[in-house]
Amino acid sequence: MARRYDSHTTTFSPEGRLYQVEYAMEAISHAGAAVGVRTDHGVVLAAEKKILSKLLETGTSSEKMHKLDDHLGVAVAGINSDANILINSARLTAQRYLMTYQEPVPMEQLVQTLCDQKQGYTQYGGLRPFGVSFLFGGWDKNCGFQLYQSDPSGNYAGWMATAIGANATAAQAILKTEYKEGMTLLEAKQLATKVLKQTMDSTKLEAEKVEMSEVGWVNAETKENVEYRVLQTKELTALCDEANAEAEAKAAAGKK
Amino acid sequence: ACLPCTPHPPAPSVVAPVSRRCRDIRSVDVAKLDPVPRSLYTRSNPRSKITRRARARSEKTSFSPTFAMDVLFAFTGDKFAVVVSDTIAVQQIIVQKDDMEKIMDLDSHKVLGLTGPKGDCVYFGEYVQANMKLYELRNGAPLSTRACAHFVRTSLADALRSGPYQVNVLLAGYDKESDEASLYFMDPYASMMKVNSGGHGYGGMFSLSLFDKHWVPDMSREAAAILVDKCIAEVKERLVTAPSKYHVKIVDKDGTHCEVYDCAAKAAVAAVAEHAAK
Repeated sequence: MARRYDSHTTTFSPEGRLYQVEYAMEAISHAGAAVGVRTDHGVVLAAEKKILSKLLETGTSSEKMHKLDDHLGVAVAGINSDANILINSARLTAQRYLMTYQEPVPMEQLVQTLCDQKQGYTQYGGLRPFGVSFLFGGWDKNCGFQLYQSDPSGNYAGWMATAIGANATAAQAILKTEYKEGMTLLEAKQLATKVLKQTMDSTKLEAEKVEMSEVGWVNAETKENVEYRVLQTKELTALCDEANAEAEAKAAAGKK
Repeated sequence: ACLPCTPHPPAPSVVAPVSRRCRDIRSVDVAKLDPVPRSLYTRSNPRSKITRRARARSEKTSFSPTFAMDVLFAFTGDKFAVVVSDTIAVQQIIVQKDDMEKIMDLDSHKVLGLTGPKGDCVYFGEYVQANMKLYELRNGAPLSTRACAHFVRTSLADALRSGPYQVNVLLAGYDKESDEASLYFMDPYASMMKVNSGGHGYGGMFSLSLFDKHWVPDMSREAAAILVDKCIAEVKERLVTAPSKYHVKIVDKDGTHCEVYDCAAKAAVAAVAEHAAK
């Protein structure tokens, strides 16, 4: 029955659903998970890498984390080639704003512009929607640190903590119980690592399988500049070991 | 079923390059050559597309803004900014109206003073006003003065090489976050400077040396009022058709306030006071 209404992205079904958009979200649920946690001191984005190979050049390009501007980063879940188009467009928007107003683009405006673009593909043109969900983490002077999630339908929302990609619902459930107000950036990183570990398939978390980035103050005391930064392997390894140890301790305590 | 289409002519097997500027001599049939080669007389042929386009472009970009007789000057004080303009609208020798607003309110805490041809001033001013309002509606908060100034400058710069807005701009605004008032000077060539004081046109020029002498940082309201008096007196003395009525707009943390400065009325008041003192 659905077959009749699912081939054209711009057609509603009799139940009022847009099947192509839903299928796009289904595609994302098979992609690597990404988790975002917002605190008053910064935003943490963590993601599971799906493409694992010793032959990959890790230094040059990142699979899941992308910088949109100095104060803005994004984590991707879904089809990477689709993501690249949108990321390029987001970067253009950010720089156009900077050129016109000589100020960094406020986060919500950028997210809105991108989502308007995504929505266009669900209403006209006859092209399929973008099979990507994003987690935007960044800062602006109006609202401080913010975390936004967007999906192929072009809807977006601001979150304190959220997850996209594989096992997103499970990750969200964990976040709901574990997230507390007033966390430090380190605690947020630990939380993100823990959530990733619990939603990934493997038992032990390794730094090679994880990518993490943060948007935080360059100098926590002076609070002058905000910077998007991808975490180095050393820091990642430390976090992963901590998460592994904690899980083992819990398992051991549970057995007793 | 669709109607049968008329068959298209068969595509040429070799596509010859066609240059717009000059015809490739090899592709031209000698018998059909014009008596005078086209390239030689197109510039003088007024009907030619090339001439029309070139003339249109030169007319649009090579403008020489004349000094308008409008008076516009401004300066900053202690957490406020003052913008002064005359209020006279003139067409050749006729005074059309003497209560024209040349300083527009962009939003609650920003003003834009414009001089130049009335059409450009009104259109560009309303364009900036509308965009400021749109930004505030879309994004829940107004732009800072600095961002607004850059937006105005970018709009001028974008239009510069096609159809410039021949406007002289003084933009003043107060920002709550920094608790400061700032002033930006822009000319029709889309240059911009953040300034402490500035003026456009003849009237503005007369006030520049007064600013050099009397402007100090963080001026009080009283000192600012005295400086405005001095500048207007100078304009009245030196400009041949000096207007007697001015708008003095102040931007501070409470918003924008407009005061009508009427030289004749002030002179009358001063005369009465002097007579009373005698």
